Parts: sequence; C-alpha cells; structure tokens
Amino acid sequence: MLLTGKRQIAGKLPGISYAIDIQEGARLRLLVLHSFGLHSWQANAAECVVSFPTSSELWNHSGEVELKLFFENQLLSEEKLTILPDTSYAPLVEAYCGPKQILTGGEDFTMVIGTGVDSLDNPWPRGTAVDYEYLFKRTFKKRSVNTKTLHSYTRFFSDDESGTPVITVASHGSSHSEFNVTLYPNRPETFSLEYDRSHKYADGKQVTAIKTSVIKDELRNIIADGTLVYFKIVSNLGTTTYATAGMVNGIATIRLPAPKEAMLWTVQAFIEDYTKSTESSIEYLPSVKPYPVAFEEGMMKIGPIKGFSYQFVPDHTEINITLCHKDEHYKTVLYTAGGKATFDPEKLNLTRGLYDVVLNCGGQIAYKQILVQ
Amino acid sequence: MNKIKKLYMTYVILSFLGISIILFIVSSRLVAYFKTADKTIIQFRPANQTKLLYQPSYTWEPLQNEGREMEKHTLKKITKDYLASYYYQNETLAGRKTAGLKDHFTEKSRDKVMLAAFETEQQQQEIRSTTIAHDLTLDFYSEDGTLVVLKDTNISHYQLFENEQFILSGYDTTSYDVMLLLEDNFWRIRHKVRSETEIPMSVSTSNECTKTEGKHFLVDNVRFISKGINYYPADFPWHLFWDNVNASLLNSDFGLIKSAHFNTLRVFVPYEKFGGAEVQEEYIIKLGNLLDIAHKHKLKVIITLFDFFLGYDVNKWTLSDRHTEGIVTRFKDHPAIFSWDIKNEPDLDFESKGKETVMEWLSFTCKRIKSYDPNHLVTIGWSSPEYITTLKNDVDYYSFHYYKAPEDLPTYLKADFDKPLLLEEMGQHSYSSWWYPFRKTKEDQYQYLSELTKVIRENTISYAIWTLYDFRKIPDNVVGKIPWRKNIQKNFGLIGNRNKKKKAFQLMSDFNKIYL
Repeated sequence: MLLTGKRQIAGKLPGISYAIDIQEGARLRLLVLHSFGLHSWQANAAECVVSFPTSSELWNHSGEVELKLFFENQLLSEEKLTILPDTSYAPLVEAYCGPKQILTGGEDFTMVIGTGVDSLDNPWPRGTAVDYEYLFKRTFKKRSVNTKTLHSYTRFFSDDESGTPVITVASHGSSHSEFNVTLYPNRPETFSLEYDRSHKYADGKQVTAIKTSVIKDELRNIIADGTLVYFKIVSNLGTTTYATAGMVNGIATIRLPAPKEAMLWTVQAFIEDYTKSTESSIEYLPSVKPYPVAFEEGMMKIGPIKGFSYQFVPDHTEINITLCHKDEHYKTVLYTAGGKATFDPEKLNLTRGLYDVVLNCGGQIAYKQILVQ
Repeated sequence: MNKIKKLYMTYVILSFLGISIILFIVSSRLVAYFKTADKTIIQFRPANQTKLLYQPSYTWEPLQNEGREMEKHTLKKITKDYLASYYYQNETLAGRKTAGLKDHFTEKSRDKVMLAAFETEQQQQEIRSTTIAHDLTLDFYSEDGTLVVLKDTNISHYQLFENEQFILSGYDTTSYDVMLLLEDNFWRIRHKVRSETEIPMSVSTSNECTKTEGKHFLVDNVRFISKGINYYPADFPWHLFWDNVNASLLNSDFGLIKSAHFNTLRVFVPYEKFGGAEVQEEYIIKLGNLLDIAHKHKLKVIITLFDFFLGYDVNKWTLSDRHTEGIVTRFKDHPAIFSWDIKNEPDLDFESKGKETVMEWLSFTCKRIKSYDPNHLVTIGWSSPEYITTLKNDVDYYSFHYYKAPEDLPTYLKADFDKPLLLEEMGQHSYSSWWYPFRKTKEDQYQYLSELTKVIRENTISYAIWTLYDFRKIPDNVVGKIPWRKNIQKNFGLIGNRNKKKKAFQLMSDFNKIYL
C-alpha cells in the first residue's frame, strides 16, 4: 500500500513509501513513469515498510506519475500519483500574441494566448484565470478566461482607427510584458490623381509630377506608408508606360519627363487587389510654333522654326518628312541648324510628278505640294 | 642427428604456424574493435532523415480544434516534428547524444529531458524505449500559426538496463497534453504533461478464418492438420526467389506440391528485399500473386516474415512495425493465408543480439500482427524446441525446427502443450561425397523420413518438410562459404537434380494421403 499521498506538489515530494508485507531486507525496485521518461530506484524493506530516497528533481514535473513496485521482477503494486504545480506563489505568466499586425474595421483580430507556470516551469492547473486587457485611445477591453488544458486564449477585434494598441496578460497578480499590436488601415477607398508641370508643351525635358490624392480607408484612416501604387500611362499614340511609387503620408507620386511631341496621356493608378483611381488626362501641346515651308529652285526650305516661347529650336531638332505620290511613300529625316533646314528631293531619286509633303517638327505639322521635274 | 634435425625443423615450422595464427587472430580482433562502435553516437542531426530512423504509427482524430483552421501541410509538419521529438528523447534517455533534441524541444523543456537522462546515467541505468502508436487530437491552433495544443494518447515500450544487465520491460499507454511552438521552422515541445485521462486504443475484431481449438487447428471451423512443405524453386532459393519467381513456375511447382497431397506451403519474406519500413509495392504484388496461385491450388500458406532481419533494438521497432503493417494489413483477408510466422529461427540471434532484446521484439511483433490481422494465427519458428513455450501467451501455436533423430522427437513433445504444434522444418539431406565423412544417401533420407512420419502420426502433429527441391546454388549469406555446409543445404529436397524425384518424395506423398 502506498503510504505517500496521491496528490503532491511539484518539488515538494518527501519520498515514496510503501507499507508492504515482505521479509526484512528484501530488495525492492520502484519504477516511475513521468512526463519526460521513466526512472527506477531500489531500496531494502525494513519493518514492513519500504522507503525510496526520491530526492530527485524528477518530481519537479507536474502531471500524472505511474509508480510500479517490483520484487524480483514481480509486480507487487501499481499506483498513480498526481504531481500538482506549485501554486503557493504567484505564477510566471507565459503569453503569446499574434498576428501583431491587423486591419482596422472590427473584422480583423489578434489572438492572445496566456497561461501561468510555476517556478519549476509547470503549467498552472486547468481552470486558472488569466486576465487580458486591451488599451487603445478611448477603447479599454478587459476579460478573464480560465485555462482549459494548458492555456487560455482570447481574441481582440480591431478598432476603427489605425494605431498601436497595447495588450497585457496577467494572472493571479503576475503579468507578462505588454504586447504592441499595429492596427493598419483597412481596404483603401477609390482615389483621384492630379498632376503638376511647368508648362503644357511637349518639349521632352520638363518633368511632370503625377500624384494621388490622400488615400484613405473607409474609416478615413490614411493608408500606411510604403504601400505600393502602380501607375499606368496610356498615350493617344498607343504607347503604354508603367511606373510605381510607394506611399508617403497617403500620397504616392511619380515624376515623368514630358514627351517629345504633342500627345494626350490617360493616367490611372492602382493599389493591386484593392482599389484604383479615377482616370486622369494630361494633354501636351506641340513645343514648336507653326513654321514656313518654301519650295524654290528644286529645294525645299524649312524655317525658321521657333519654339513655344519664340526662341529658335535647338540645333539638330528632328523634322520628319513624308513624301506621297500616288501609291508611293518616301520618308526621311532632317535636322535643324540655326532654326532652319533644307531638303533636296533630287537626292531621293524620285520619279517625276506632284508630291504631297508632310512635315512634322515636335508635333507641329506642315503641308506642302512640290513638283519634281 | 638427422632425427634431431627433423624434430627441430618440425618445431620451427609448428612455431611459425602457431605465431602466424595468433598474430592473425589478434590483428583481426584489433581491426574489429576499432571498426565497431561501442555505442552509437549520433554526432549530427540526420536532417530530414528521422523518417528513416523512426516511424511510429499515428492517427489524427477528426479536426475540431479551437482557433485557426488547420492547414494540411502544417499538420503534416507538426506530425513529423512531434513524432521526431520522441526519437530524440528516447535516444537521449538511452544515453546517446543527439543534436536533434535542440530542434524538437524548447530550451526549458529540453532541460527536463536532459535532467531525466542525467539521473538515469548517474544510476548507471539505461532506458531503451520507443513509442509504438500515437492517437492524436488537435485541441487548439493559434491564429498566427505558431502555437498548437494537442492531446496524444500513445503506446510506448520501455526496457530498463542497469550496469548493462536487462532488468525489466513494459508497455505504457498514456495521454499527454502537449503545447508546441513554431520556432525556426521547427515545432518544438514547450509543455508536455502526462494527463489523467486514458483513451483505450481500438481493438480489431476477427473473422476467425483460422483458429485453434485445444491442440488442433481449425480452418473455416474444420479441423486441419498442416501437411506442409517449405518452398523455394530449385534455381532460385533465398534471395534469388522474389526477383526471379514467375506465375508459370509457381503454377507448375504448386501443382506438383498439391499432387503430393501437401496442403500447406511455407514461404519467406526477406525484410530488406521487401523494402524494410517502406514496403515496396512491387514485392507486395509478387507476394499477392503467390498467394493467389496457392489459393487456386487449394494450398494454405505460412508466411515467415523478417527473414535476414537483425533490427531487434527498441529504437528500431517502429521501422519493423511499418514493415509488419505494410505486409500484414494487405493480406489479412487473403483466403490462402494459414498463419504468420514472425521470424525464422530467432533463437540463433540470442548470442549476438541478446536474448531479452530478441524476446521483447518477438513479443512486440506478435502483438502488432495480432492487431493488424486478427483473422490468422501467429507463431515463431524456433530453431530449438527448448524455447517454444517462452512466449506462449503471444503465439497461437508452437513451432520449431527438427533435424535430430526421429526417435528423440517425443522427448520434446511436452505433455503440457496447450496449443497445437507444428514442426515447421524437418528433413534429412542426401549429400554424399567420398571426402565427406557424414554423408547420407537418398536411402538414408527415405529411412529418416519414414521413421519421423511414424512419430508424427503417433503424436498427431502438423509439419512442414524442408524442402521440395535440391538447390543448384545457394547464396553465401545463408550458410556461409564452407563447401560441405553449402552442399548439405543443397541436398535436402524431395526432388533431386534434373527434377528426378527421390524415393522420399513418394514416401511423403503416400504419407500425406493417408495422414488425416
């Protein structure tokens, strides 16, 4: 018969003793099966009692322990003993929190798991109350949840405002260090685009800044810095350009050089999988003023060509020339010098006839008919 | 003077030979000593190889956990890491250093395992243990996917050694509440508490197609005497068998066996050839075909598992258990099976592997086969009759191999046998060569078997004769390379070279016909 009480406190077991009817001096063996393995001691019986010197730290582990008493490999007794955690002192609180980043709006939540452990790292018994507190601006939530097997847990749902709530976990007067959870703004709302430029001419040099309005979620929280915004720029000439920018203070900005010829951009921005902006148009006018074109003595004389502020266009400005005669088309490129350019059609070995000539300099179109002899 | 010189020369030559032999023995012992580890020390964690070392069976209860819904791949990873933790814990308790402990226990829980191991070592004890089956229930999975709580009801086996002497062993069914944390992509045990509740493991029910009644076998409730024969084809014995066997050969041989009025076959399943823990489908199909053909010829089959197997150590039990499960569960309903023979002549391994170690494994494997296949009988084919009753509670019938004098057989038939007996191997070779002093002729074989069958009939024993054919070649690992041993083993058949039936064939055929 087991003399030791069947419910013991971890780390405080005085020893294991049996009352047993066996000859004095009989060598008995105690086998102990515990949470992390098993162990065995031997002792001699004395006056119908056998005591095992169990000063072992193995009794520090809480949980059920199975004791088997053997004499010459014959099982004499099989008993169960429960080692309880030491609850005479306040527990150490063990807590876990996650996810640490959640979205505003009340649908997303963070889960907090808490349990108490005694000084020997044994979980406190089932039913231990664990107190959870959530503090954020004007919100204060508090609840107490009892542990089930090894833990208790609770969910804290998000608030409407973004920020950093603080969560604390405590039990029986002890607390865990606080957790900081980041409340990120939720799904961004549709936004608009605006642009900023020095002038409206397609000079290929000036920089146009295209930026979003301040992007917010439906609860008016500004979307987090660094959120990537994709910009898509489609021109009326069929070209498409993509650009990306991270958000700062709710605004994403891209900077693009103006086109080299007049065109119309249609710009739209996206936050992938979430939202998109309204479409915005940017028109670039020709950076070249209308220019004279003359055909004298078999030579075509172009210019002087002036820019949008009446200065001569820079040397080497491109002039695209297309000559059309019946079904024949010829294309060539001229470059300005001193704001002018000269073209000799004979160099193209053209057949005789009347040609329509279309000139394009910086998107400024000019027409001329010439007779090739 | 000449005589003295001769004596002197003889003395020198003998001394030289003697010294050479001593040197050879000493140097070979030295080499063997340095090449054999005293204890296995696992220096490095065998990354992703725990599966090769440890495969306890497990089942998950249907998932109804609190918290986050469990993903399939996460559950797989948790299972892998959690089961591996037992391997490293058991290795630590057995006194072997394992780096893997760090990967499967958090720092604080690791200390608890180390402490248990330290206490064991202090008392010069060694605990060899393994878990066998886990019944797992997921209680909780945290929203951020880094913490789970589960309940594990597992069956484990332990063996206690003190000063390298076996002390005791036992099985333990226990429930544990376990908390695991995901750290560095490992699910590590944070808390493990042995809990009070115990869930009984499911018990399978039998259709009792083969059973025993007192000292008799019953097959489909009809009394049955096994008149069996150990079978290998003449050209493909032992390791050559499973890679060369084909349906036409089996059909022809089984037809021949049936024509000689045998009703039972004994075949061998080599452990490694069948894939060890990862049983190969290719060989399962071959075994299935053999059983189908045997059934067609109305022959029952005794399947001897674990041929050429030496993994008796507790830390390898889970691997042999997967082998057992892989084969036995596949054929538990096959109508041709008469019984499962755990292992051929395991008592021959007592010396090299330790008697207790072998016996514990046999007892364990008997229990596992019974749990996988409650429909068929289980036995152990002992080499020596002295061990047959040692695991009497685990086997359904006794069997041993008998090659001694027929008249001595009754001395081994104990009156207190409470179960049927089968002479799983018996026979006489007919090897005769001018240089071999213990030669036997075909007539000797005939005489031996005629006397033995008389004793068998008088005592109403089932038997399986060794063997159908004389073999043309025998692999070296069966009886070694020594020529006379090989030649003897080649000549045990009832049918000799060039398929000529020996006199004993007709004897056995006649005996089978009248023996009821």
